[in-house]
Amino acid sequence: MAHLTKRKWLLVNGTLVLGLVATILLCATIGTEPLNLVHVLSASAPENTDFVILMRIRLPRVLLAAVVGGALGITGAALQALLHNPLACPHILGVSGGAALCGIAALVFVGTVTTGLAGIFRISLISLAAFAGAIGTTVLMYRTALTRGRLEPYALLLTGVVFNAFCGALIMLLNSLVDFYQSHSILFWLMGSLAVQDYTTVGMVAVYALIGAGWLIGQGRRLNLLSIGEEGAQQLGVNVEALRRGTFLAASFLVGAAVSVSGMIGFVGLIVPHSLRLLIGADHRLLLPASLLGGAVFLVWADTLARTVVSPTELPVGVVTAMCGGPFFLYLLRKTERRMFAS
Amino acid sequence: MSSERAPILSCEQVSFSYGAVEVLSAIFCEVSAGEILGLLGPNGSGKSTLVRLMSGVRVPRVGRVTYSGRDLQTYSRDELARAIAVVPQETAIELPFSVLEVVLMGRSPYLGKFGFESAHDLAVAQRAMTYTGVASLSTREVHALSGGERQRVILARALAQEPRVLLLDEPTAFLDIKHQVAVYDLMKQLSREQGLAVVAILHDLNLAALYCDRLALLKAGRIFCQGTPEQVLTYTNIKAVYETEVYIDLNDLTGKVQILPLDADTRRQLEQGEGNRR
Repeated sequence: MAHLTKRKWLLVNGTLVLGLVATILLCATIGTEPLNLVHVLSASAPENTDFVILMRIRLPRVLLAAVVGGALGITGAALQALLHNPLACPHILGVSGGAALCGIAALVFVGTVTTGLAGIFRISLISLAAFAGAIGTTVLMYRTALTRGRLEPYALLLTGVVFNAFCGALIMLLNSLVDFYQSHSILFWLMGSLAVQDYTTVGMVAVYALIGAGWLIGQGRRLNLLSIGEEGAQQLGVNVEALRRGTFLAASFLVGAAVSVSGMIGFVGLIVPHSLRLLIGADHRLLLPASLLGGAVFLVWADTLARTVVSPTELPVGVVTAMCGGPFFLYLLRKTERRMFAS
Repeated sequence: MSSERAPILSCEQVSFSYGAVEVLSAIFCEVSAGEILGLLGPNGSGKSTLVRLMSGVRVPRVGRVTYSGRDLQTYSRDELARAIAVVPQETAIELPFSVLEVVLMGRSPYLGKFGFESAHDLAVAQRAMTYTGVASLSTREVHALSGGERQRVILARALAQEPRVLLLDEPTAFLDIKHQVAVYDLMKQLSREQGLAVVAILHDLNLAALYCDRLALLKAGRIFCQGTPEQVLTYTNIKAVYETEVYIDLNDLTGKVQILPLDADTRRQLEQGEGNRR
């Protein structure tokens, strides 16, 4: 792979931006009720039902998919740099699980105590809990895998797997304690869904995601150095401890935001950065923004597939991403293992 | 080259501990431009820690490390990275970076927060790759290279930093003899031609004698002795520090000290009255 130039940076990100815009427009027209964009824009609401479907139902959902996918994609890329390991992703490390557990706990307890509260307040409480869960899990993971100032990537991956199972069990426990309606919302968290959200929610998550993503993109050069060794990075002028903490914080911020509105959508952070790396190289100055945009494109398509493949009912989007992601993870694992034992 | 050279990097009465365990005590050593200093000593004698202190990655508990007369702590991280480069024993690279990309990372301390490498940076990287013989590998992925090639890529990255001081932590531990010699030949060339100061940890006493201007022999966190290879590599010093019998003489061809380990049978014969030979 040739080295990164400004021209390549602009070319790749420009293409991805165009791809994302096209994806959003196209996917908003695909669905149980196919829409014709020309027709939609020719007459104005409220007589035009197509316009209403587009603006009220399709567009917020497609935009949410873009925001969540972008957040998960860039987080995966950043965590892989941090752990020098292409197998890392928020789902596998248990960060998503921790966020979901806390979100669900808040949903169950807050839900029962404060049914009278205004909707938006309840939603932000649950989101806060998901944030806290993401950050708490990250800190826990970090402490566990940090031995004598060094991060042990495989210890971290293993801890993540165990923690995920543990979270899963606790969620099942909560699930068996609550009534039918709450049980249904828990299922939503577990399988991941981008179903109907209002523009306010989309906007809020977008702001959080952009703050986290912006910070990460600014660290691209440093993450390059970190991704090939902590001490080497330090000797090349990077404040490794600060960068590590900042990256973990930004990652939990992004995952917390994504999980709080869409539940656990797995493997986006694994598939997207890895595929992009094959196409555009490993330089994080480019890979991070590209993973943000690529993650957005990927999840919008995955969600479109989820809501059309068995139309008029729909699959949880988490099922679609996991079906792509599971085999992909095994493939990656085999490839990495072979390399590790070969050298 | 003048004989009165001011040291460029000095350790002044440096002590360091990991937790309660003192790893280095009262170290005094220095290296000047154009000079190669070899650090020798058994495993666990504190050589790697000393190199970490010299690179500014760790801070001494007592004493100070200075570059050009100023404490390392008074420099910014980027300033230090432009002055001092390190080649570690081994670098694991799991992500698919190309050789050129890794070497260009050596330019990092010269770039802004989100800067791209200029034509000048590219030229410096190319030159570094030519020096270490990896220019033809430039587009290959680093994790697909052999250990020797990878080490020369990391050496090129260090050179791309355009440092005044190069610290090598057993850079050839995993290399075959051809590549070991190639690395040290290059090190010698750079120190002679560009006045690079080199500090290298070595395990091979013969390579140390062959390439280093001065040696420091460490034992249990202290400098046991330092000086020219002839002064340091004596039967008594090696016996005291490594606790092993060796045979030492001068090599006819290189004129340098050469050291041979002795097997158990030979040692027994010596004990039975032949006496020690120098």
